Amino acid sequence: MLRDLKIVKIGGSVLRDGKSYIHVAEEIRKFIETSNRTIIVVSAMNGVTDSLLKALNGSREALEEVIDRYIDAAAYICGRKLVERINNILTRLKAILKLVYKHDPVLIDLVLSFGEKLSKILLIEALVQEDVKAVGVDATEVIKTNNVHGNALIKYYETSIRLNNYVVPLLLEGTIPVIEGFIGSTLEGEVTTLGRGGSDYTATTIAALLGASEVYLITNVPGILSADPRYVSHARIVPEMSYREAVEASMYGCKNLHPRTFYPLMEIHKCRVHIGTWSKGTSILEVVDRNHVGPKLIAFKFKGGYAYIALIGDGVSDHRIVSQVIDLLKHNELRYEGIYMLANRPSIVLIFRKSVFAKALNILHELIVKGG
Amino acid sequence: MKEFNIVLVGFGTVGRSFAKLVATKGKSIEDKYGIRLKIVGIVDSSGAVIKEEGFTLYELLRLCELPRSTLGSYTPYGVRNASVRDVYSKVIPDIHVEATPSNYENGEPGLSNILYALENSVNVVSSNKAPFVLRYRDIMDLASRKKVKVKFKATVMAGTPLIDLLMSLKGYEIEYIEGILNGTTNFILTEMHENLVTYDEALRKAQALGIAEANPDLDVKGWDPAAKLVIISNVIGKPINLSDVVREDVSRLDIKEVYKAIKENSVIKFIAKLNVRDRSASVRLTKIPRNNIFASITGTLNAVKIVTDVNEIIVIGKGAGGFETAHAILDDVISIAQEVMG
Repeated sequence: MLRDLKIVKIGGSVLRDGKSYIHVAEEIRKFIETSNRTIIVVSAMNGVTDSLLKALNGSREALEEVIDRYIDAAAYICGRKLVERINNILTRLKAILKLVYKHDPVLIDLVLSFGEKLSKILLIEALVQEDVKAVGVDATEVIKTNNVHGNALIKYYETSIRLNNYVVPLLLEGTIPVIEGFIGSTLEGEVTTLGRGGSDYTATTIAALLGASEVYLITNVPGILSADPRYVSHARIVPEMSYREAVEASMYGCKNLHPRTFYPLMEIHKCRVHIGTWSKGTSILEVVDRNHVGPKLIAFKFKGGYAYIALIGDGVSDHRIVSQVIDLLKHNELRYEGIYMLANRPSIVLIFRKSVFAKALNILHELIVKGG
Repeated sequence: MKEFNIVLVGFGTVGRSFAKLVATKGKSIEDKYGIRLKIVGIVDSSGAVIKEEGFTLYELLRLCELPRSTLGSYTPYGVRNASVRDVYSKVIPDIHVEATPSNYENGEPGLSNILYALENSVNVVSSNKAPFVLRYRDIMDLASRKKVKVKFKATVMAGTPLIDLLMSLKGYEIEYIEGILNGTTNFILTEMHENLVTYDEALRKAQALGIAEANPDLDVKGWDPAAKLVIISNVIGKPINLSDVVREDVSRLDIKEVYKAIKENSVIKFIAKLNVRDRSASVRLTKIPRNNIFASITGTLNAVKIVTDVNEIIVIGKGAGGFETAHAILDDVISIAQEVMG
């Protein structure tokens, strides 16, 4: 029914001030010239969710910062009327924060939801300035979740009905629906938040439920890097990954990825996911080209004095690659404390002492450079 | 395909939800019922927007993005300070939707708007309770004289069709109707019982969540559930007056009373009751045992028990919310359109 639907999620990292909303709106205008059936999922302004958490803990400065940033952005984008509107919503936020003394998960989610709600209004007005027929959709009316406040799971069936009733008609009329990421509501109507990576999860769920052809997760970095550039100077963008690899990488702490993002796609409907900037990025697909099998990226986390380095890629637990890894480490006289892998998982995990961890990262990264 | 022009009066939470609903569900209503709903005018306290050929989906959704009370200054369709009369002078609708707030002092502005619509032989759907509480008979008589329909199921229990149900009980003798008819006070009482907080604290939370108004008197002093009892009494043909309803005040409830109730394995609920036989009505803080059905009605949920000479009927459902109320209005609008089409 909806051929060639695209879901574009605008990450908080590209929403810093009024100017960046205008810039994003320009990019969206260009994007929809070729894909007019597009749904926009929008995050809160960069850092706002953290500030709101601080405000919940009583920080007046954090609240002032949120207020100033949204008001400034509104003034930049559209002037007095938008400022008034944003100000009315902020007044409500202030009133809520004044009323809330206890740490009630229902109220915490309500407060956090303001970041996305305000951001959506700003983006819609910026889009209207760009002559894009954008209209707002309330995530709390469409994205239905369970009752786990702070880390809710989306209910597919209930959400699917609402998407078809309240969002699809907008697409068929040629408008661009803009919906908040990260937030939803329970069947009883209480606001919930979806936890870390929540906006990506909103975007892929909508994509899966409406059978989209592509999901764009727009951020300020040009894709998934093969290693942490703070330690590995030759780190580069991974061009293509599979869902399995992405989920594995997210479990080993790879930034910009969250396992939940891929579940709706794996469970309901598969489509390409682009992570990166508008022009550059990593494509994440159900399966990747055979030429792309092998180690793709290195992720790591520290635990109990050791560094757990995961070499990730479909087929890396194959014995030839494992022996290649061991040979390489031997050749470089690098001692590892342990190694483990499972035949059905796209990773090898090596355990090193922290003292040799950076060297190990760089040496293992060579395999990726050679392989690709 | 038959077209129905709608003028919407009142553009707050309920009015906006209704406009959004017509925008998004309009197409499926066309397909399902052969009815095309066109909103041709919307009125708020600042004026009106008028478009004789009907607002498009995009325009309706854009209007919903406007700040409160600014329709009059909206370009290009806004008319500053325009009233319902001014809108009718440009375009006479088929259905008038009244979504202004309830005012029990004199029913205005809803009462005059509804009477004006009926005088002009326009069908009326209302979510505003006050006109029906104060002048039910006059409204109904005028409607039948003018041979037009008046529907108002959104006034009681919003999306839960209690009014429809009562109207369908034609051969039954209703003995009494009782229940929880106000979501705000039920939320406050639930908070007091579950989290053992005082009335003030529970009210603050209700206000924070947007459940209670800044001035909660209509709810906590029992005006709202009492008004609903009056409407119900009229619907079943045994009318009572608002002043006849005995009302208690939830804000007077001491948390110690709640402790005491809990110890006795009971809960305190704000129970509205209409005794049909002696035409008495009350809204009272009532201690009920935990195993009573009303004890399990928590949060903003509503529930009503209808006791007849035949059986007991219990209806449970959400009793408020813009979205739910808008659906009840839409249902009434579709019913009228179907009745008009025959």
